[in-house]
Amino acid sequence: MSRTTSSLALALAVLAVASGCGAAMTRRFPLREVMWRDHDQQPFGPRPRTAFNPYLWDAVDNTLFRRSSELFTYELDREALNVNAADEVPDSSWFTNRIGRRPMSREELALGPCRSLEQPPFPWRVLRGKHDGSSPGAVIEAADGRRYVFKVDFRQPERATAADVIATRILHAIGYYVPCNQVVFFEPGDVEVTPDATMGGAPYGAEQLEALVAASGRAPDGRRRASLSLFVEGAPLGGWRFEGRRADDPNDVIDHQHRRETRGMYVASSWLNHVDARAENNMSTWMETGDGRGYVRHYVLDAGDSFGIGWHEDALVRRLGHSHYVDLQHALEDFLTLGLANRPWTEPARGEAFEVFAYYPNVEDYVPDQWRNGYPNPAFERRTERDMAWMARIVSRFERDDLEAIVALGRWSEPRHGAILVGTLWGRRTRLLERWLTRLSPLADVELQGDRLCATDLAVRSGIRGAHARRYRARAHGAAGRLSIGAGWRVTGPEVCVPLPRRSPRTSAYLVIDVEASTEGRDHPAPLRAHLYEHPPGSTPAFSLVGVERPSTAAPPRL
Amino acid sequence: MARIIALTFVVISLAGAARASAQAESGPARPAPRAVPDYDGRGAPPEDPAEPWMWIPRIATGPLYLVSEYLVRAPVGWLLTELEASGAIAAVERYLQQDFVVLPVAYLDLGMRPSVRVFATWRHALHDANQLDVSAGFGGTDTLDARLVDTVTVGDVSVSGRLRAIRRDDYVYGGIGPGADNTVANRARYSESLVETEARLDWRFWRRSRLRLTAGYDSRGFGDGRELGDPALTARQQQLEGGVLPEGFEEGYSAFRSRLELVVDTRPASRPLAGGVRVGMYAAPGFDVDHPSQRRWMAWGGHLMLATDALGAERVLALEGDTHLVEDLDSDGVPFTELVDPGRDGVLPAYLPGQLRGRSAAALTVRYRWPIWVFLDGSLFFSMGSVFDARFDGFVVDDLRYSFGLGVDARDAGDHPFVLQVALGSETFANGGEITSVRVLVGARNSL
Repeated sequence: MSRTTSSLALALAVLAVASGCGAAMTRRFPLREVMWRDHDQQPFGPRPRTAFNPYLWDAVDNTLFRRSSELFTYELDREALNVNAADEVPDSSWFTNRIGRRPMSREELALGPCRSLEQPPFPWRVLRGKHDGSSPGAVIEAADGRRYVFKVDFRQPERATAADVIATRILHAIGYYVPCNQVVFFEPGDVEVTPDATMGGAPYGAEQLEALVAASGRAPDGRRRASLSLFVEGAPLGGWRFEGRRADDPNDVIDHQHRRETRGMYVASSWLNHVDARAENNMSTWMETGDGRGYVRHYVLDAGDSFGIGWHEDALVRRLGHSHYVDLQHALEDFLTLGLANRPWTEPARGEAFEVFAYYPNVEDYVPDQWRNGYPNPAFERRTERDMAWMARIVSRFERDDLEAIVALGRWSEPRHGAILVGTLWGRRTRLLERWLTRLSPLADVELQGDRLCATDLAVRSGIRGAHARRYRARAHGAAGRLSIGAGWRVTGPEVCVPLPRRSPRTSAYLVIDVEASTEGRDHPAPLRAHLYEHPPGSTPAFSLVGVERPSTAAPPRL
Repeated sequence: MARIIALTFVVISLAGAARASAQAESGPARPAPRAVPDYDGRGAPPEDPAEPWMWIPRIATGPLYLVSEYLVRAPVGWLLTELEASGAIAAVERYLQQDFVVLPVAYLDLGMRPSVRVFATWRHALHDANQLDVSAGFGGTDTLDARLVDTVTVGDVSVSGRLRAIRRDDYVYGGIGPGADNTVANRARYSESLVETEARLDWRFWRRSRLRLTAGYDSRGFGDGRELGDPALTARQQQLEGGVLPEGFEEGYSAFRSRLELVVDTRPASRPLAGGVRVGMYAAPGFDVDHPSQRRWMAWGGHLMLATDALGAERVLALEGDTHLVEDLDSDGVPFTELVDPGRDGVLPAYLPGQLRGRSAAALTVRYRWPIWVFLDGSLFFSMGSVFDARFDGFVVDDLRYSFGLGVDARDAGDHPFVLQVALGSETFANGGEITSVRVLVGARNSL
């Protein structure tokens, strides 16, 4: 991690460990319910101020100044703070557990945050032009009285409008708040300009609208193509940042860079190649609850850069996802090595549908933990293996049919483009699961079934490992010592169950069960560690599951 | 001791406050924040055992942090944020896309006086095909220059009229010919005032090939200069060469000159780094307008480059050969500023302009260029060459010198290309071949 790059800090850290500070006792979980809801939507007042997002300063600061200052803070790696006893993230104003915690139907995945997939009724009236962002567009009001951001494709046919919809649907299924986006078709006469429309302070007239419509793509039937993004709920407060807290939001008590969902967004962004993950593409909104009180909700607003955004400068496009826009580290490395090392951006292949997806379909060039977004992101920089494994477990729940259903929302004029995107997403999913689902335990959905502890092996369920080659081993650790429950057994599917040993304590006793899942010759992740209480005989239930950990080594717990 | 403790306390306090400040967005006072939830029921995680040790480097580098955070990051952040909020940044963006643009740049050639420069470009000036460029440089009251270029471009042909006025007093004089003692210790400074007009025709006819024809008139005057404690030119000559001043120095001169240059370059115009062959040759006659039949000269030469992108991906290795000669067509001699100057012309870039001068020069260079960023290339070179007497008369291998350097160049050259270069140059082998020249360049070079 870049946070501890100082060799001095590293030397001191090694010294601290070497001087006898290691081998701490295993921390026990209390006998209580897992916290699945973070009550950070408590109404308060007054409404926070609307923050201004300095997009240029955000880029310059994160590229240069913040990182320079952080060289001298010697911040050590730390785990995310908002992680519950199940090693998951509770629902909050930032995140809602969806596909990671429960099955989602194809219809639900496709609907996402929308109430309907019908496109809004005409006429669409332009209220103002949109002069920020990478895609040309406007703010419109449809005949249903609702407001939308209207965007057209720019340079690459159908990619941006489709990405606006597909990427946000995927992010929604993962758990983020996103706007309802859809690909729409229209005739030029369906859009009109209101008399007082403006853009950047200047009048916005028919001429500007004509230019916007002319820039839009065409469907095979001749209609024009665009994307509509429904205004999100609540009053805008500006984009939330990937660092710090809002001083005017009393619910915001965890530094954003230490939230697991902001760190874990690294995995999702790398999967989608959403290089533009930055404050300006986020949005905080004020959710009024009455009497001038409310709370703040946090949206990911714009992911239209996903799936291979292209610019006219090919040398830059080749680097997207591999190197920051201004990557001082890579520039220095390439300078000192005389450019002799081959990089993923050195000579990438131009595959099929390059004009649509640029280099995104080059799955073999995708190295998940080497992925880089546009410019350094303080939350991404603080990611840990556990944060990444958490998001990888969620991504593993997407099945190919799910992706096909979501990608179809792109309403591609050429079906092969949709097929290429599905294939790319599936290929990148496999690679990221190989990276982040094979070092920490891929066992999830841990629950008690009577006197058995059961879990789902996501490596098997996701298809990256076959059940036939999978081996399991379990050990129990308690006050009485260690006990092997089973070693080398197989199961026929992804469900794994372990019989729990009964010791009949007189009072509730603490029990730790380690379950290892491995594939011979391929991977041997550290165990899943379940923390339980065994209750005295006659109690119902006999056991209580109180916590789950995914340690990075197989060293036994110290109780 | 008490002071040290107090200072340490202040540094720690400020560092702690700074970290807290960096992690929290500013805003008006609001309701007290809620308690941080105990998400997993186990309370706050134990402190990392290395954390207490981190205060050692934090305190040791506390002043660096304070400078970085409060003297650099905070004011720059405030300024840029305010500029963005006021719409000034957006206005600048729009401005840069307009027809009329002004840009300030700076340039440092270590050993010469640093300068700042303002470029102004007016695209489509009065006519769609016309462009007007103006540049003014300042490096002190004795280092001034102004340039005006008006260019009309139609298709592959452009015609430009140029006007230059320069006054500098930090020009280097290191003697003339292979036998001159042009070590740094023996270099001198002179001043020059120049007014020049020129007409230029450029025809880009194939890939990166071009034909250039120029004709111009200029007038120069010279005097003693000063920079970095180097002696004035007259003092040097008094000490080393019996007071004999270089040709043209005392009275100055006015010249009419023309130049025909043909470059055939097989590399594609759209790819700055590519393999290929470049052959260039030129002839440039000139004469002193006050002595048109007694002081005439002819500069001529050629350039050959064989470049290969053998490694692929624009990692180009090139072998370059340069020969430059000046013929004295009469008996009055050639003014010293008309002689071959491989430092000025970029043939031997490890030497300052004026450090080497001769009637002829040759150089063989191996150069490697490779991309390090979207808009920047690395450059590494090794050269062997030197200046010589007329037509390489008396050439011996021992008169050669070697030089090498490493640098970064802007990919899109433009009129003010960014350059960062460190280069070392040796004495002639006859004089021991020791490294005596160090040249450091950084900034935006003026190539208008």
